[in-house]
Parts: sequence; structure tokens; C-alpha cells
Amino acid sequence: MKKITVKLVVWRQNGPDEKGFFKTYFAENIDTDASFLEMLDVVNEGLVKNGSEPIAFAHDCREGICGTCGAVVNGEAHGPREKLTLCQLHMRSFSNGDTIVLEPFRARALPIVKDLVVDRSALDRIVQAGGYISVRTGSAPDANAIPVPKKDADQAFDAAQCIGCAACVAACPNASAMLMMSAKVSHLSSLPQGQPESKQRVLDMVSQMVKEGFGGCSNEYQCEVACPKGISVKYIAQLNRQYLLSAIKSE
Amino acid sequence: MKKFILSLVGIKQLVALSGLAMVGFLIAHLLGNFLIFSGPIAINNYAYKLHSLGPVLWVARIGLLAMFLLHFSLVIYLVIVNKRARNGSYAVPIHKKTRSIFTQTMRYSGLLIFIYIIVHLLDFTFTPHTVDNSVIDGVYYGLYGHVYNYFLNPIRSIFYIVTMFAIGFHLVHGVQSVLQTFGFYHKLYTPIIVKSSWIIAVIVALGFSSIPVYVCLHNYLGWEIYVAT
Repeated sequence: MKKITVKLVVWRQNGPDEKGFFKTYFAENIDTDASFLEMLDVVNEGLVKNGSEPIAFAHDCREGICGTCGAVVNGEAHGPREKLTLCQLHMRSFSNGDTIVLEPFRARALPIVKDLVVDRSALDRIVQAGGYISVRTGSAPDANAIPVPKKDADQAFDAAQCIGCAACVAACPNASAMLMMSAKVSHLSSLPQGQPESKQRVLDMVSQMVKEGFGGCSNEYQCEVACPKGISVKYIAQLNRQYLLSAIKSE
Repeated sequence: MKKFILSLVGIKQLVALSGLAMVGFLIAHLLGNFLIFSGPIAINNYAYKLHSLGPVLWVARIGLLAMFLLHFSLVIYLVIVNKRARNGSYAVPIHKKTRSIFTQTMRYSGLLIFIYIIVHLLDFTFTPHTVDNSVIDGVYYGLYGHVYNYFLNPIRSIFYIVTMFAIGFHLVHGVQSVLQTFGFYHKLYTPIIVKSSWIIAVIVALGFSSIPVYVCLHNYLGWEIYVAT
């Protein structure tokens, strides 16, 4: 079992309106099979033992499906490995003596709650603005009553993989939420069930994104490589296309 | 509709549309400029025919000016909004995995182009060809002489070539970006479009730059001015 020691330079911020600063810690004798968050757990245990405030970081499932965790590790959202969330990153991706700079996702629309924890409710409000469909209430509909072509189902499923972690916002030079929003739009608009609202959905979600203070897309595609689920920028193209058509037809 | 056109996605589409219109103009302008290689009569006749279009020319000019102002003012707005969206900077800058020198310098190449367009209008559009600026070896050549004498100044020639490369830089990202902004994405066609925007950028940068190079070579080697009969 290999053990390494790494130097952590961590963003500490006591509250949303407090001034943040970097503080250095050493994570000693860390098992390389430990996950990144487990390493932080070890550091925090040490901090608690010393009577210091532990490093606050968000996490839930720790298996890359919930979208709760996330931080910028040495300038990369979710760390150096592609298509992984921070909780899926392991210490074997680092070498003994490495310095790891740990920062929260930075965007005006995602205010820092504490240390590495950001408030992602702006993304929830974007989903609330248009991420719904109209369904008949009552008994459950018959299976396969609405035919869905395989290709459309695949595309909707591909887009639906977005976990709303905000890595796209963190990596975007404009702190734009276009990739996340386009995934939600494509997910619903690719299916027959999502058609009744498809025109209004894209308009409402974009309006909400602007209201939240996210930037716009400059087609640099930093989001695509940062996305732990590999959501393609082709969904941004689909969003742009739908937006143009819906905007022209709107009153 | 107005509300939606004037939101981030709509504004970006207006920027793309006005940019594309200017690329179209640029290609037409380049083709016209190439007539300089055929000598003074060819290019002066072309300029004369353009000017004799009268009202049509003015419609084109006003349209072009509108595109230019639209592109520039909307980009300034987008830059401000995009800057504001990032709250505080990263201590370790985000890795530039997909950001190229072309995308990162868009606003700077654009600014240089903006400055050059003003200089260019002042030097050519608003400066008439006179016996003071359009005479080569004692003969008056009109527009041809004006261009010829202009590029004999090395500082002007170098500034011109630098700006033409800035346009090339701008177009490498700009042209292919238009399609993404309007929602065209295709597995097969998108890579071809990316290559095409490279080709357009190289043709525009080298094409325009060839004129000062030609003038300097022409003068240095003492070639005769070709006047067809």
C-alpha cells in the first residue's frame, strides 16, 4: 500500500460576505487508494482534533451521480482526470510532495457559502423556469403508448446525464451555464412528451440564466472537457437553434 | 420578440450575423483589390464603376456601417456581462484546454481591426486622390498611384500587414463560431467548416498582405507600371 504526503493550499472563507484567503495544510501519509474527499476527511479529522474549523466541502453520494461535490483542483474543475467528479478522483492521480491548490467554483451566480461550498440554487431556478412537462394525471399511462424513436430516446438520455454540478460554469471563461442549460433543454425537447412546452422552455430558461447573472457562450468549449458526464457542446448548438426559432415566433 | 432578441443568446446571434456580413464584404473587397495586379487601368475602372453605382453604393455603405457598429457595440456589452459573471479570479488560472490563441485574442484582434478601419477610412475613403499623393514618376495614376505611394511608407505597410493578420486571427474562430451560434452542429460538416474558416482566414490575411508586398517589390525592383492599351 503506497502512502503519499501532499501540500494543500485551500480557499477558506467563513461566510458568504466574509473575505476569503488561502491556507496551507499538509495531508500526511495518505493512502493512494483513498479518494480525494477521503483525503479531505483525514485532514479535517486532524483539524477537529486540534480544535480548528474543518474545511467545508459539499458531498453526498460519493459515486459521481448526485452532482453535489466539486471544486477547482489546480485550475481544473473536478481535478486532473477527465469525465470524473471530485469524489471519483483518487489520490493515485497525485505524486508524493505535490502541491494541490483547492478553490471553490467561482461565478457571481454561484455565491460561496463557506470555504469550498457554493450555492447552486441558481441552477435549480433555471430548471424550474422551464424544465418541466405537462402530463395527464390519474392512472399510469400504458407503456409505449407514445412511440419514441430510438435515436431521440438515446439523445434525450445522453443529455439527461447532466448532474448539475456546475463544473461547466466553473471552467467557462464567462462563467456561463449554457452547457448545463442546453442539456436540460435537449433532454426534454428531444422527447414527444416535452413538445408542448418546447418553445417557451428555451426562452424562459435563457431569461432565467441571464437574470441569475451567468455570462454568455463564446464557443470556446472549455465546459465540454470539464463536464464529468461528457455532455457535448452540440446541445448548445441545439439550444441556440431552438432559441432563434422560438424567439422569432414569440410575440 | 424584442425581449428575446436582446438576451445573451439573441445578442450573440446578432454579433454572428453582423460578423458574417462583414466577412462577405471583406471577400468582395479583396477580390476588387486584386485588380491592382492588373495595373492602374483595371483598378481605377473598377473604382469608377463602383462609384457610379450612386444610391446603391450608399445603401451598401450604410448597411456596412450599421453591421460594423452593431457588431462592435454588442460585443462590448457581451464582454462587460461576461466579465461580471466571474466573481473573483482563480489563483491557479483555469487550464486552457480548448482555448486557443485565436479565441483568447478575439477582443484584442477586434480592437486592432476597429482602430485600423478608422485609419483606413481616413486615409482612403476621405482622402481624395490628388497630384500630391497619386503621382508616380511624374505621372498621375489616381487610385492606383494613391495606393502605391501609401505602401511605399514601411510603417504604414507593416501596420497594414499586422492588421490583416489580426483579421485572420479573428476569422479563424469567428467564421466557424457563427454556425455553432446559429445552432448548426453536424458530425461530418462541422470539422469541414472549421477547416474552411482556417482557409478563409489565411486567404484574407495573405491576400490583403500581398498588396503592400507587391508594391514594395514593384518599387524596389523597378518594374514598369503596366498600362494596357
